[in-house]
Amino acid sequence: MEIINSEINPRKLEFKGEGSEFFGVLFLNWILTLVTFGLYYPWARARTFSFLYSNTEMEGSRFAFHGTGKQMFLGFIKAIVLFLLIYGVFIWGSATNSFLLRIVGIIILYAGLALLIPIAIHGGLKYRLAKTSWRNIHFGYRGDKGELVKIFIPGIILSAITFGIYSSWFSIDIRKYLIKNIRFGNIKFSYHGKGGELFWINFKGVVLSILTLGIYLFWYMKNTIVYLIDNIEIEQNEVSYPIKSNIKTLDFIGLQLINFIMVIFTFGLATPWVKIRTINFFFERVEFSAEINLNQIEQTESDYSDATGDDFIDMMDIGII
Amino acid sequence: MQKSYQAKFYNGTSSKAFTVNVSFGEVDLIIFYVDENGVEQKINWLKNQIKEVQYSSTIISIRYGNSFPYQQIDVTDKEFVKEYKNHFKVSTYKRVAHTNKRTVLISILVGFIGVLVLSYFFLLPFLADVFAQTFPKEYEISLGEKLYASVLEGEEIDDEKTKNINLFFKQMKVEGDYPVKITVVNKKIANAFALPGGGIVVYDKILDDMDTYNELAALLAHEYSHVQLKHATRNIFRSVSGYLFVSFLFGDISGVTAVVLQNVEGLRSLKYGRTLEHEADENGLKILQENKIDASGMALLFKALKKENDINVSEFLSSHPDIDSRIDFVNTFEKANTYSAINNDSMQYYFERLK
Repeated sequence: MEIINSEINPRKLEFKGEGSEFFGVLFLNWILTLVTFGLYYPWARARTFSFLYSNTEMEGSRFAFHGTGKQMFLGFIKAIVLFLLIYGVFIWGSATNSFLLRIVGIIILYAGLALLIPIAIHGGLKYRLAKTSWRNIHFGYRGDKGELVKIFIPGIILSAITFGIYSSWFSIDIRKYLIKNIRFGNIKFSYHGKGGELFWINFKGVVLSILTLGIYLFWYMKNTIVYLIDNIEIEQNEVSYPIKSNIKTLDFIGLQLINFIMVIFTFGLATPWVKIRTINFFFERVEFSAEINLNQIEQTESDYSDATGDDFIDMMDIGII
Repeated sequence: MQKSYQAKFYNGTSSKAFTVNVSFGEVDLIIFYVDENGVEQKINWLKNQIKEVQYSSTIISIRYGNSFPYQQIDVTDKEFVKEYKNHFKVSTYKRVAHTNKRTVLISILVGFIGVLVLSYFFLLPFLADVFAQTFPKEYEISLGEKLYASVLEGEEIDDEKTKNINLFFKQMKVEGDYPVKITVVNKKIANAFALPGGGIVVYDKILDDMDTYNELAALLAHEYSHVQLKHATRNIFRSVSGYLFVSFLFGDISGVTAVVLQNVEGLRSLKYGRTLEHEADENGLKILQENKIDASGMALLFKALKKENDINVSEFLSSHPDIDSRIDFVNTFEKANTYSAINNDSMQYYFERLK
């Protein structure tokens, strides 16, 4: 039995969407956002997620995104108000003649943003995952806002005073915390990367990229992505299963170069096809164990509909994990 | 017997799929399935309690229930989708990112036209203004010089009056960024206009209509304001913004000059519209005030032009609407800003030589 099990083909995700369909979605979004002077944007995001999720298939079933434009719009408004408040204090401070007030404004700006980023990541992940389902089972994020802030603030300060050297360890701490709190029903996840190893990847990446006038950047990017993916483990009923990627550097270079050429020569019109190519590239090369029982996932997570964090993440352009 | 469709049913507590048969009732969906114990089960989903419907090109997912987690069925039969629409006509029906080739094509077409229209009415004038505001002053002056030459081509220039009107303007002691060059042209039409970069053209008929030098000061202050506020440049850029847009895209600034020169005819009767005229009046009055020139000259000028207009249609007036409200504006300005005007003998002297 053991032998047979290990010979079962590993599982992969599949993307079933067509570039032309995605183009239709994005183009309509773009037009409506333009015509409504940006107000449609949250609905546009919801539509984009819906398209991407509902075309992602695992074991013959599609994922679904249940967030709505309305929720995202409310979050969008809240996020804008908060942003304006923080920047408002800063601008007000710098407009006055008082040196003290100016310093206070700057402190509030930096402290505000430093606090906002982890809180936004928390809220964003919570919303996005709660609104993601597969076979009616929802994902979820169980992290605690305060704990994330406690990891984030010292991490960002240490990274700053070590001129970025600490950021490798910082980024591993964040990944570990975020991923261990992700749930897919009763399936858990964990991350096993090490700060020292990521630092070596970054160090090698920066030095060699400079020495090779940027050519090494492809290897650097690929190594970073592989290090992220290959250190995630899936846990079901106390048994852990690794996620494995099989990305060859030459393939990765090919993907990037062709994407680049497609975008440049079509003045960006090929972006939807490029995105789908990229999704397919990773879905084809990332696999996880077939021993995970996908028919016995229990619903464990609750609903969560506040999209403020998610909108923040979008505005600040933070890449989660 | 109602037609039934095969579907996958998820009860909300586990990812296990049950194969079920779904058929349409009067006010509900009827779901039949055989549970783990081999017992036949029947569930009714009331139409008004359907929570969410998502439809993509290959699958329709329906969720049911009052609270999270919901029950869900997934149906891949296209007939079902059609019948669902016919049967329920519900507002919960939500198409999720489903597009076919025709919608893509139509949305591209509609979008393209929409973008063109929007660009034409909003983006182009906006860009033209931005471009005019950031257009380097030296370039504006050299553009103005070229325009000047072509506007005056074939016109009969009165050298004597031109000399005197420039000396008159010097006496007004206007401080500004542009080198002002005024030309008097012999023409039996009451008109005056400003070009980008400091050029002002005055037809001698308008001088004949004036009784005091304050009126001439007011006219020049008004025209100079058009120059100072870049009205001419903005207007030209707006009227050729189409070409401008293309030139801008290809970084071809010299192309702009060529296009502007081709459109030089329109300059004589440049219409600025109420807002810009008002701006020029206001700025002109401020210039008069700063230089202690009697502001009532502006009201007198308007009255003279109005009278003239009753006899001959004046081009100046035809492009300067609402003369009465402008006179009112001058009067209000005078009341709000009282200052003692100083009589300027030199201006009087040059003015007399212009008559």
